[in-house]
Amino acid sequence: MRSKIQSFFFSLQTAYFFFILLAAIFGAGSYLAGFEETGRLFDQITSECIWKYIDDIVANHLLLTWFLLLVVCAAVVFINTLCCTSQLLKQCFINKIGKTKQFRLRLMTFIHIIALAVIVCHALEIMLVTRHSPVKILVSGMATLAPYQVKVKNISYITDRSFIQEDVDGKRLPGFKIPLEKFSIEGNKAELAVYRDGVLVKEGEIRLFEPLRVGNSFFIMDGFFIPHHKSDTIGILIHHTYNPLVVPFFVIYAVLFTTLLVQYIRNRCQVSVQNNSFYRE
Amino acid sequence: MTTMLTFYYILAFMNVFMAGMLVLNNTFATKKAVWYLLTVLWILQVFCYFSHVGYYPLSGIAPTCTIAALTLCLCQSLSLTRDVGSKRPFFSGMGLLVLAVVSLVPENVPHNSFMMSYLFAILFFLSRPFSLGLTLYALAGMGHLFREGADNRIYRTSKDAAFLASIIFLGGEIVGCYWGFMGWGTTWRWSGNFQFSAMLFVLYMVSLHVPATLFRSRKGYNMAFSAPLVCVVFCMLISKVIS
Repeated sequence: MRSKIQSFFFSLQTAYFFFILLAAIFGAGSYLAGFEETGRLFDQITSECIWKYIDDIVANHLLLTWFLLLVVCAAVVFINTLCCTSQLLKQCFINKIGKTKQFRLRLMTFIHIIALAVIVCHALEIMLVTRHSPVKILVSGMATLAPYQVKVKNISYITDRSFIQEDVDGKRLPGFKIPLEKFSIEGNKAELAVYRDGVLVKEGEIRLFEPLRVGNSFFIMDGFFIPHHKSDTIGILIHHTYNPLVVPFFVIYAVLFTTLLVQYIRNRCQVSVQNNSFYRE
Repeated sequence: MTTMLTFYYILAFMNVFMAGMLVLNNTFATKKAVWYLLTVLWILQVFCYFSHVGYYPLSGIAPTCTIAALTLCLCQSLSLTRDVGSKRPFFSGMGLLVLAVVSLVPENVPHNSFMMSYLFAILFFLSRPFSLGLTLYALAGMGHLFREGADNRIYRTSKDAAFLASIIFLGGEIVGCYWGFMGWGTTWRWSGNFQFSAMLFVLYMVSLHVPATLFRSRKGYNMAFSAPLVCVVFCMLISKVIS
């Protein structure tokens, strides 16, 4: 029995079947996101934290089954990768194999270790990352984005103001996106002061695609607005996200991408050497 | 501007015709000049598209098909000298035919939003057609192996093309994550789009992890390698058509 379990987790066939299953689960997830109820729940867990909506997920049997399948499948893929990597690692230190093969094996092992880190990073991100719903803050106004208080000191907005004018319901032109040539990412910005327990922790500028970072917290600008009743004033829409993994996340992915490219280039070099030797013969 | 759209459709029809010729006439498919001409035609088609709608909407049917076709044309042109006598140019022609037909599907001119001008957004959207083109090239090689039997060189290039397609796709996902984080503060969303992308990436992984021990014949192995890639191509194209 033990050897059966062992061979299950050390087998490439397991990886293959669970990859197929994982693809099917993601496909089903993509389909489920199109339904109103599940789509709404997916949106909610995206915009805030998965733990906050755990009761709603449990109540929705379809979504619960889907999540359980995803977790089980990802866990099996993780354990399988771990087992296969340990096996590769052992082979790396066998001196009998040639230098080229050894390098290839080491590269493969490294890629699998990074893949493990990617799975861990994704799992931790789902568990640790928290986000808050966007808040509207007018210039010189202040809002609490727990545990911080954010003050908007100044706003510079150089684009046509009619685009961001809100109606009575607090909505802007429905379905309208500001055209490329009419919006300035550089010129439209806000100056923020971030406080924690009344103490100033950071001051800085915030733009679209340029969040303000305070430790592991990020203040992200969602847009600008002009309230319906106050056309002479302007405000920003901002939200806060706590993500301690963002740097390791991108570093791991960059390393994985680079290593895969190296592997590809080495594969091609090997092919060209083989081809040349073939033609020489 | 309307003229550019008219030219786009004229070129698309020309590409359908040329790809049809590649499929119908194998001698035609192995001529270098034909592939160079096809590359020029596809460049003109993509140029007409961008002249009509602007440079940034890269997520539509037209840029996806045209850039993928260009990638496929370039790959096939590079390996054509060695591919004379093989069926790969014929299957590449079939891939081009599919792309040319899909590029004719009318779509609403996408809005040229400033959100798309962000470098990482551009890289993300560009990664998809490059992956699609390379995947089609890999499948063209596999098509030859199904028809003609074992050929180590074509098998290796097909596998490498699929590998490169998966790397480019992953690169696109990484820059997409970065775009998502800088723009919305999330690297992962539980939305349909994100899960669809994850599915495509895992399909590449399925293709690259086929255990040789699972299949008795080479044909079975090749089938297991190709099936996920066919799914990737189908999903990429159908998602553009129905969205």
